[in-house]
Amino acid sequence: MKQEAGTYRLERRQVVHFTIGSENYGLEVEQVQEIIRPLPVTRVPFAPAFIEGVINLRGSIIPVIKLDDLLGRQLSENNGYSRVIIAHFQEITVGLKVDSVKGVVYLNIDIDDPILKQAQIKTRYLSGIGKLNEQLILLLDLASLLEDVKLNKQEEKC
Amino acid sequence: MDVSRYMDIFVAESQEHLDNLNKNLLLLEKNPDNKSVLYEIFRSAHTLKGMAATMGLERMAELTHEMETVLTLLKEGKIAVKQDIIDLLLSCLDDLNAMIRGFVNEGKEPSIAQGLIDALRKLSEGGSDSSQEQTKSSDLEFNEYELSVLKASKESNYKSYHIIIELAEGTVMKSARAFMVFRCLEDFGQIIKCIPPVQDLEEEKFDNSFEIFLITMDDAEKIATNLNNISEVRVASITEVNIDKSLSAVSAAKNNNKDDSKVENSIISSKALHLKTVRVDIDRLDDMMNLVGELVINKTRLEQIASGYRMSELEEAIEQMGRLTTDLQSLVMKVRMVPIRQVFDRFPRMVRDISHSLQKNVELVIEGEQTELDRTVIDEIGEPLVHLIRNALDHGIEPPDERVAVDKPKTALLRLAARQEGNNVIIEVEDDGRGMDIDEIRKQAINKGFIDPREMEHLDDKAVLNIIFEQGFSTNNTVNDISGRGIGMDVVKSKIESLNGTIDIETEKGKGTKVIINLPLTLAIIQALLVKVGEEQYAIPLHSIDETTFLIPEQIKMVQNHEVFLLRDMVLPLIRCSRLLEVPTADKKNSEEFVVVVHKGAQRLGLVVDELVGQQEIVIKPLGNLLAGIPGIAGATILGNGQVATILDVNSLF
Repeated sequence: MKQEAGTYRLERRQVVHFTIGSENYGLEVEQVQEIIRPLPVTRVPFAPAFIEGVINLRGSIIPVIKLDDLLGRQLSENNGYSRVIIAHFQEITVGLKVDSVKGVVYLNIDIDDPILKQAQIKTRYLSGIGKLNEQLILLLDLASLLEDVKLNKQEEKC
Repeated sequence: MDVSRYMDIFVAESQEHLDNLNKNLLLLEKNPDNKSVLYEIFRSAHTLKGMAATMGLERMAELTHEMETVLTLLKEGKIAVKQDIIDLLLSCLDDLNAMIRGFVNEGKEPSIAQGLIDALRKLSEGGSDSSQEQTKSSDLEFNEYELSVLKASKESNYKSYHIIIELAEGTVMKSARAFMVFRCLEDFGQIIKCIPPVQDLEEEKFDNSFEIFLITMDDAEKIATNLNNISEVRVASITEVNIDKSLSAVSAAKNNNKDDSKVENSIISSKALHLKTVRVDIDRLDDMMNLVGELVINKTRLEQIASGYRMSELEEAIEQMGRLTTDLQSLVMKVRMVPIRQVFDRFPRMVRDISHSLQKNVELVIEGEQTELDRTVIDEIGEPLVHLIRNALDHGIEPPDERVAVDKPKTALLRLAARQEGNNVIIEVEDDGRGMDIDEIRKQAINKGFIDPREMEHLDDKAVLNIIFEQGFSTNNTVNDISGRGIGMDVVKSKIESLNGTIDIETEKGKGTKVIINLPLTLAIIQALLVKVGEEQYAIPLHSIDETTFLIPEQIKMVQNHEVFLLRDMVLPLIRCSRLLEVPTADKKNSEEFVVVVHKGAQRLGLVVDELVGQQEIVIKPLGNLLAGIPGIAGATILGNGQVATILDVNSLF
């Protein structure tokens, strides 16, 4: 689909709003299973990079991804607000550690925002950008993120 | 119509019918006069046709339709059961199987060899016009009572008719129509026999046609007109019974009837069994197993908490709960158990085909097919067994003339047996063939460079036999279709070991070979040793542990820059878990090192750990799609305190 210059392609979506470092991120609610307080993480030897380890979520073993590393950010020191977002995409369920979860909001997401295309922000794992009050919220693209983690695994196997 | 959601059911059920067909066709081959087996075959083929048509699989429906036509001819006795017909029908089954698989994998129906359909058509056309005359009497088999009635009626000038009734395609209440036919015929005379039996007619266990023998004074035409007046009913044929011919067949029929009733009984009883079962999605069983695993973990947790309080009431309650969980756990395990018959059922056909192609006479004896194994094990065990059976047929069993020359019975015996022993299942594949020549194996092993000649002198026969599990080893000098490529036994062995099982061979030259497989009942819950490396806990499956020991630093020697140690005159390599697993906080100097000696087959090595925590029953949990298949890690388990511990895959360390 081609768009004319100057027009924005807006989509209204419900997202979970969270922060990593000073950055605001969003993840579509459909991809969020639940939000939990951090649980002890068990390191898995030989696991691909970007996997911090696994947690026991009521009997299921769930891998936790180093989201901050992937996004090139730094998690703040534990301030009591940190959470793990349990997200799922297709057959994969993962935990994402974040600094805080602000809430669930409706956003008008611009999926073709020029800001995304100018390489100011690492656009790789972002699928859009939205404005909430005066804040910019970056919409996380879980599919491409998991794709990369998986690719990483294959590379290590070889 | 969107049929995709019926896919699973379709695949499962059609597989069942194919298995059924396979089994019964082989039964029919041995027992060509057995009508009830033929009926069972016909019924399965008919159901398959219906299912294929519903799913929109036109080619499959076409093929089954042609099969049905041939089966009808067999049923009506218009063609005789012969080897080539069975062969043809069996290869149809193979094609059907391939079609179903193709349908599942590609979502559309693969094309089939028109050859089979043509062959079936030729058979059915040839059958129906050439053998008209011999037809009718051949399938009239009466018991003594029926014959005496027939004889008496003939003497008093009654006529006996053989009437074949056909119901219209799609008749809804078939039993009601049959009942009306009976009512109508009873006005004319006495019904002495019907095929299938009345009971089956009442329960609608028949296809669209059935046969009746009637004694009457009236003539055929009148009866036919009356019957044709009933809606949805058509008289396909009405012929007078030739009693003399039937009489002559009576003695043969008597013998067959005995067989018939036995098989019939077993069919009926197997049907009764079906009614008591419920088909459950395997995922649900897995979920259930998971939840019970959870419960076991929580029970352990409660026990730990209670031990800190010394409250006898609490302890009693927890003890009671412990018993209940154990019961529940063993019950769920039982539910997941599947009889090994599922795997064994395909072998009669395979043995038949292979022994035909090798021109050997082999009798397959199957024992203990009701032995149950966890479904996860059942899924994996088929392939290694196929290897072993092929080996036995190809290498083990001699051609008939060679057998006769050494005073063995011409027909070789291949025995496949399963039985439970404690928490293990033993599967044996035994043949009475030529056995393995240990000296030949020694020679070949040296020639092919598997073992140094000097080393060979120290090996006993058992150790020599183990060489055949080495990759690429084969004593067969010629490669053929069936085996001898030297890729068999090592694959078998590694498969069995991945199932936590063991494999042994007993053989005697000239007498035969016996392969003994020992498998655990389930893979979901295992005994494991928990160890600490640094601050991290790991589980090592107990079945791969030989022993634990400790070493002082002086006992550790260096060989080519690798650490080794001596264990009762054996030099074993030493692996430091802290380095292997890249444990961050580890590598502290201990005055003594704890060593867990693990094995894979005959190989052994020592793992250095920081602490032995203890032996525990653990529930194996998968690591999920993202982490599946990491080498070195067999899965994870949840400990009593809720923490996750990873399970080391010992096999991958060698």
